[in-house]
Amino acid sequence: MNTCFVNPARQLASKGAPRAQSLGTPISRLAPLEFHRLLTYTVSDETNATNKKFPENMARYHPMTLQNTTDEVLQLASIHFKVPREQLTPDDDFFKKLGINSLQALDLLTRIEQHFHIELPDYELQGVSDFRTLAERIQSRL
Amino acid sequence: MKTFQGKTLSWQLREGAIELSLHRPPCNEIGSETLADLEKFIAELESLQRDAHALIIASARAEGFCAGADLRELYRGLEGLSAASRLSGVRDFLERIHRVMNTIDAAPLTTIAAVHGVVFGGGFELALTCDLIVADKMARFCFPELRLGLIPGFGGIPRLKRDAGNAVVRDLLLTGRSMNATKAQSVGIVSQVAGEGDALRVARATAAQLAKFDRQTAIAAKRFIKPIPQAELQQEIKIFCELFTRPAVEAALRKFVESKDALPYLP
Repeated sequence: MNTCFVNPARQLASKGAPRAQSLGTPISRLAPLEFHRLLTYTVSDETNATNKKFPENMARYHPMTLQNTTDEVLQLASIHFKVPREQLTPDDDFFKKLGINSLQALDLLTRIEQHFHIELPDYELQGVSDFRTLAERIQSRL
Repeated sequence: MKTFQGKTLSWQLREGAIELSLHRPPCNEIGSETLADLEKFIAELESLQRDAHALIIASARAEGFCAGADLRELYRGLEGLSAASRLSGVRDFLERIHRVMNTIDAAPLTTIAAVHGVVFGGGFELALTCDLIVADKMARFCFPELRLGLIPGFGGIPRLKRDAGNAVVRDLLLTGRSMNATKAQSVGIVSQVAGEGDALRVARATAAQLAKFDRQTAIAAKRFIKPIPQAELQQEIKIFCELFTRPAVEAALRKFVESKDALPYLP
């Protein structure tokens, strides 16, 4: 497990989440479920053990596979352009499938940058028109 | 005129703020009609500012704030003209738009650009004349002029250099890439990032705050902190005109105007 996972845990620990040491294991050696428990710990857990919130930005703390990234891009496009998710596939030409022009594609780029917390210069999109290749470009910035 | 409804823009006085709204389809491209309406606006500004403390510039077009100069009009205007006539026409247009931009830049009002969507080229340059830029979180800023073999011609480089670091100017200018509102805020271009569809509301709230302060003090503070970079603005016109005479520019304009590319704005 990558040491970059330390930061969110430290943030949660400052809010009263169990420290890694209290789990008896160095944070870098936590099993995925234990780590998930640490990440999803909220103050309200103290009073309601069944309250397991899944952070909206959980994706940032999971290893992002190309498939995960592609799924999230499809989801973003579906929501922004109000197209049913099931109608979109990774190999679709998003200009044709979504019926969008270059300025609307910029909106998708902005959504992507906000969601993945990255910068993706528009020249990286030169020649890119399908979701899968777009996800590959995103992946290279994560 | 307290209110005006033109072909490309309108203005009104609202709670002590002049609201200038751009509404030329598709995305407020600045051509001869917009320039003429902007000239009407600055002619009225002295009268309007007696009753106002702030100026808000916004767009009524869903596509964005402004996509820059009207390149199609520019390209059509070049057809059939000699090189000398082309240069003279472009220089005249630049001198006129610079007068407009400089007047807004130095206006004894606190000026706020409320931007969303596309803030490209001349649109970005118009926003940079304002004291504050309030950006919708979906706004994008870009200087795509190098793809045409040109530099921004409406005063963008000196004004961006005044507001942000030289490295930011080089990044935007030399790569031609666009930048989102959050990034633009992080490099000091944008004052506030608003939620989607909220830029005008935030700009109005900011204008209401400004009304609490003594106006003469605000004017003195602005004069002190926001000099007009006159020498660099003149230099910009000179460089633009030198570049404009090259055949490569006409070829690049033709390529853009006739482009069927999905992303024709890309360098």
